Amino acid sequence: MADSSFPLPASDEEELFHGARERTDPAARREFLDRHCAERPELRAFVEGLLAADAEAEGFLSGADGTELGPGDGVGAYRLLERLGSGGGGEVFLARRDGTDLPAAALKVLRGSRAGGAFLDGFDLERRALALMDHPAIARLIDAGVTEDGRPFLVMERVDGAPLTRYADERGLALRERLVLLRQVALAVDHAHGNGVVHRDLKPANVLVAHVDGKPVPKVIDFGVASAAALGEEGGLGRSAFVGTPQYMAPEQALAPGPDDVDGRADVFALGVLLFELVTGTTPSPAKEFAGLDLAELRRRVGQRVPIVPSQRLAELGQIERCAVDVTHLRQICERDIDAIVRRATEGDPGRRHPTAAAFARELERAERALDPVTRFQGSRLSGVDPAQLGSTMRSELLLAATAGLERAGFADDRRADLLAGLEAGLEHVNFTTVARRVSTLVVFDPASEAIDAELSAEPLVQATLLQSQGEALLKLGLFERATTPLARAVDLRREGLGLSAPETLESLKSYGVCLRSLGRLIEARPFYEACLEGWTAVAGEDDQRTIDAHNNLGVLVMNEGDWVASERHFRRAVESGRRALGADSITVVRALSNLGAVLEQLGRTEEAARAYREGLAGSRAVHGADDIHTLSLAGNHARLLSVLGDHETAVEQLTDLAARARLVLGDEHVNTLLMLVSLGRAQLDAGRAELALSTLEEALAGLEAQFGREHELVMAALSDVAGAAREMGQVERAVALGADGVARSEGLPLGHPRRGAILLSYGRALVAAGEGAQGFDVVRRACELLESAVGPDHLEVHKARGILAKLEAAGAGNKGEARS
Amino acid sequence: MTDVTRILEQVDAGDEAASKQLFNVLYDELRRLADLQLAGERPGNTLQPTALVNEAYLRLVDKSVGWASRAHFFRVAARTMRRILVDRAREKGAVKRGGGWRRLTADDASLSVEEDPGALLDLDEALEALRGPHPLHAELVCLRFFSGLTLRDAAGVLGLPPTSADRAWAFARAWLAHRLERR
Repeated sequence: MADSSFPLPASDEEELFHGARERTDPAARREFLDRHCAERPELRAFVEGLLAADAEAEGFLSGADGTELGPGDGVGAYRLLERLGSGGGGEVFLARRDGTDLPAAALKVLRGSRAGGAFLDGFDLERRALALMDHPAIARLIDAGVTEDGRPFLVMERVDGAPLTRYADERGLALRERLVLLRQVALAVDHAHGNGVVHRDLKPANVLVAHVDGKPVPKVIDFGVASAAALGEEGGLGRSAFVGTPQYMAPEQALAPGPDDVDGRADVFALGVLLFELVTGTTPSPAKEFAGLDLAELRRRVGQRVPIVPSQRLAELGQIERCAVDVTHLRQICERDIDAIVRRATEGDPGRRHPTAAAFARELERAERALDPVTRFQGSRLSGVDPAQLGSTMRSELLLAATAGLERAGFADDRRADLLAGLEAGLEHVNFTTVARRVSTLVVFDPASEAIDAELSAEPLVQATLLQSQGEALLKLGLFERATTPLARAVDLRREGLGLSAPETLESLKSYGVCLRSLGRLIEARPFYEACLEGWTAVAGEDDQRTIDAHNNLGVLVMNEGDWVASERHFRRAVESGRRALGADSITVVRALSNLGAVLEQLGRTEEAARAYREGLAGSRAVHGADDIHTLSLAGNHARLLSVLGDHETAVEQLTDLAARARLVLGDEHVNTLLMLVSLGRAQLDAGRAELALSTLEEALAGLEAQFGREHELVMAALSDVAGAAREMGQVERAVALGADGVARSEGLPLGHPRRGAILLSYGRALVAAGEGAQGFDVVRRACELLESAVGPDHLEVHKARGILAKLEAAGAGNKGEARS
Repeated sequence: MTDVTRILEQVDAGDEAASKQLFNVLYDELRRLADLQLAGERPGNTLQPTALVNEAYLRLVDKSVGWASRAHFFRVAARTMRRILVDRAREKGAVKRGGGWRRLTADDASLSVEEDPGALLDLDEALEALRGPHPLHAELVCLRFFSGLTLRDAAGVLGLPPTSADRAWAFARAWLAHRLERR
């Protein structure tokens, strides 16, 4: 019975203890004791006492268990590097997978009973569920297993950060920032619930907040630990267990500790307590209320906590300031926006709580909006309008509504399916991104503008912030005309309230300048660009991103003004200082390269331009992704150059694809989509597909004209392209008319502007094609002169124009014309 | 060679006085580390005896010492630590409270000393009682609880094979729990 090598004088009581203990079946155990203690009732009573104590002593002196592992030890495939600490669930080590240089992870060895078979089955399920979770605010489960001596362990992503409440207090976060933080946590928890995982031990120590780029980044750790621990307790010994932390624990969890007895609403309860604690700095029931209680008493107390809301606690505490505001004010805010959320989340009956963590998050979001005048008026969409996403939502909502409508109307199933299929086919031709773009101005911007005016006239700086963000959102949507009013007012309000060199003012100057330039109002735009550059240089220094961006922006303006040589200097400077100060992949450098490419292209230095685009494109893909507006326009420019360099087919192919993407991502009417169409049309023309080119260019021209009016430079460029395509198609009269129209419109451009030459050239060629050789020849010759004086004799366009002139001369166009006249 | 290493070799050679000397040296060192920790000059302001013993070992003993010396060190350190904790509990005016063993289920001895010194005095008394009929069992508990050795290492120090150590541990624990509960 006893180990033969046992060197102690094995006492009877010990022999009997082990013998009985090995017999887990109660009848067998009784029989064993009956047999050996027949004559010795006292010994039997003592051994039974030991056995009873043993059954309950599982955790007793368990501290020694926790020290069984230490740095250098192996656990599963992992090597322990360092002890990080020991918490409620067990001991935590820094560990790395043997034989790899993977980042070190946190390995947690669960305390308590050794794992039995039932535990391992349950644990395996849990592990699979945990592995499904992939959320930025949840520490990833990397691996799990059982130690040599049968204790379960979990390997988790290591998180550096401070516990939620400590982070909030040490950084003196305002109430709204606290709510934002907790909302992120609630959404993460909701994600886990969606994967069937309940945390069961949410508390500040399990929500770590790191400080990344000046922003709090929360991460929930120990998902699955409490469940695994509960499994261990249950599977191991069928013993009652209490896994979790009393202050945060929902009553039903204290009473029914099995792994399947609680659902996500237990976590909602804990979220409610966290909200209470973030606001008041205390938990509803203090930890000491539960200290030193035995299990039964603990359960009873957890079930009997008196509900309390934050405003009550704040009144009791008598502090002066909390969450960066005066406590009296904070209490009012709580009564208005917070108390109800806490009350609902911490209801004793789970059926009366928020049904999901997402519902809890939504209420937090409402409270956030109520707290901040800026967000109150912005609405959640204003600054982040994504027409593509909104459009796709609209499309699916529409189909849903149609389905429901057809059902209500009582159509038979197959008929309904037909009708729906028809509707869907019809919708194929609707660009929902475009629809969303129009609708968002009606439903979001107009009401917002009214609210800003009506309610915030006494707060000019808040008003300015709103106007600015509204204007920026409109700029992003390409709705330049609509953006002018809010942006101009933002400039005025800020200049008055903050002075000319305040960063906010400079921000507004820039946006307004960009807006004016985009509308072709170049002369008006210039002072804003210059003030912006001066301001940032003085305030932030030469190497600041904003100063470099200002150089870049000024370069764009100069380019629009037609001084390509000067604008090249601005862009080169932005590229160089950007690379030095911000890194080659920075957004600033990407943007500057894109501009540099464009101006080099204009200057006819095609190879150099292609190189700049390629460099910019690589950076942009890395920084923004393939579907980003910057990436798309760079890719478009690059493809266009392929055509200029002679590879028309590839260019057409790439541009067709890019134009489709731009339609999808930006909408049909976005300026970048339209410019992509211009490039596509030109490439199609070069590739000899004049008919396709004509329709592409016509669409682009109509779109640009609708947005920028008749005399914008971009519109005139598109006009000459359409004229060129018409000429190739043999529609010579139309080509002539368009050419003449273009020349008339170009009167508004500065005299030395190269665009004048290009337009004239196009007109001249149309004339020649229409048989007006003499007049055409004259016009072409004038175009050559204009171009040459604008961009110099070595420019590709000048060469091209000279080539055309020479051909006309050789064909005797000039003479014939003279002869005829 | 450190002083402690030298003393350990003398203990190994059967020098009784050296054993006493080792106790005194360790008492001073562990006491000093404990005070530092409690004064908040080190991370964590609860007393973690097992961590202190480990730290003392790393500080005081050469890596090259033989296995026997290492065993001596931890046996004496466990005794020393136990004494320090009991002294500290008494200094705090704690009284034995009876029935308090549940408090000893926490992380390690740290909580029980800081929050519930009475429970530690109860355990100390129960260990003394266990030592009468089962001296090696009592020693095994001390090595794990006060020196922080793993069961395997503690068994090694006492020369017990692993299966015996498991059984001895289970018995000792039940015995102590039973005694503490009966009071």
